[in-house]
Amino acid sequence: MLRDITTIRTFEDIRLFYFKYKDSPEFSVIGVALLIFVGIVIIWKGILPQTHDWFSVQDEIKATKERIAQLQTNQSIIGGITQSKLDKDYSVAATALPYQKDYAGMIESIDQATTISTMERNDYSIEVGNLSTKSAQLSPQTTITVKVSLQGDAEELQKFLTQLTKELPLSEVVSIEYNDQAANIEVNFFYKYLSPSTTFPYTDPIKILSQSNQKLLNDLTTWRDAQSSLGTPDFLPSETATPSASEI
Amino acid sequence: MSSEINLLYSKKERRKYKLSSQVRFLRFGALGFLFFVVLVSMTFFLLVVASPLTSLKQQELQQNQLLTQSEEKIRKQTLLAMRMNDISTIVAKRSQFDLILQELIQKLPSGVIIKEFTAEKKQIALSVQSANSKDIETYMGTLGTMVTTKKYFSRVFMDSLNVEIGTDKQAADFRARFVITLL
Repeated sequence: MLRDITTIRTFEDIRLFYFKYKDSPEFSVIGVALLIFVGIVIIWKGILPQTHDWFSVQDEIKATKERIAQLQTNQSIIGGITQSKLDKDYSVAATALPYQKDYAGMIESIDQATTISTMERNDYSIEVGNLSTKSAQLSPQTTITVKVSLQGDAEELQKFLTQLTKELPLSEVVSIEYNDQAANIEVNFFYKYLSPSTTFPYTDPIKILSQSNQKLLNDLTTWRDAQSSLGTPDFLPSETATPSASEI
Repeated sequence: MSSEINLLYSKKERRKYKLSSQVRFLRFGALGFLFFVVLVSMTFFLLVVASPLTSLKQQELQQNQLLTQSEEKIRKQTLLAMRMNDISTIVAKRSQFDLILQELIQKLPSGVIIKEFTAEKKQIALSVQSANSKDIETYMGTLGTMVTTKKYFSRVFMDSLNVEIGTDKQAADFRARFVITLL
């Protein structure tokens, strides 16, 4: 048989070879081997990739279903929030922790705390820091320091400190030097730039306020309303600048 | 004439070419195997093609389009939540000098006044003045109690006690200075 294979030259030789050996056991064995080989090739090149595809599709279906469920949850959450309340809450939060250095807000806070505490205010200075917006945004500093000199007794000083904690933008007293009716106070006012990398993908769960944060927001709203009722000092613009959504 | 020309098998050749049952079994087995492989392949193909992925993607797209209409609201809500987290951290961590001073004033015995109050980070220096040494002693005891309650203070010690002599050569004013370490 092998000898015959080596003599095959033309199509006619193949036909002759076929008719001569088609009923031989060797031919059948070769045929069987060929079928098994084709079967293995189909498994290797067809079934295995298709199985992989099928599992990938199942994973994708599962992930898509989860995304749809999240989108539906987000839709119901956002549908339950009224635009006017959201605007008000957002404005309060942005006033409490501004997106930029809020000089007018700082001056107004100190002015109102001084008025309420009945302390007498002397000069005060503000440490401005970096003015270059790009480098300032990269700066880890999120406070601006104000040094205030006041005149009054210890009780008035305490009232001033208490009032300052309820003023927006938020601040922290970092040092106090009170001696015989004269006080030098160093206050850090907080601000925080919006990170340029902040994204708002719809498939992420919409963040809702925790109960403690909701309570804190209510406190902030009360403080701001009280602040507004006192009015803005004459030397300041009537409204404190907060970034609009388009600026964000 | 060569015997190879004749295509009819001789009896000997017929015996030679008679397929054994094993070979026949192998042949059917191989055919069955191939059929099975093709069937499985087609099944998987149909499963992949008939999967609900396309309709799910369409549904996801529709939901996304719905949310696009509320984009502004989502941005504001996300920013509000982020800002409130920052604010709660600030409020929780900021100094409480106002409350501490309030506590110190409330506990002052009558006739004792605060002359000096210096506060920075975790340390407070407090000077109180009174015409009566007993009041200073009472206040010292109060400060000691405040340390044991562990509300704000971890340690209090008296830095100095100055006595001012009046014109009548008697002690006129007592001034005590305390250094307080905060928790």
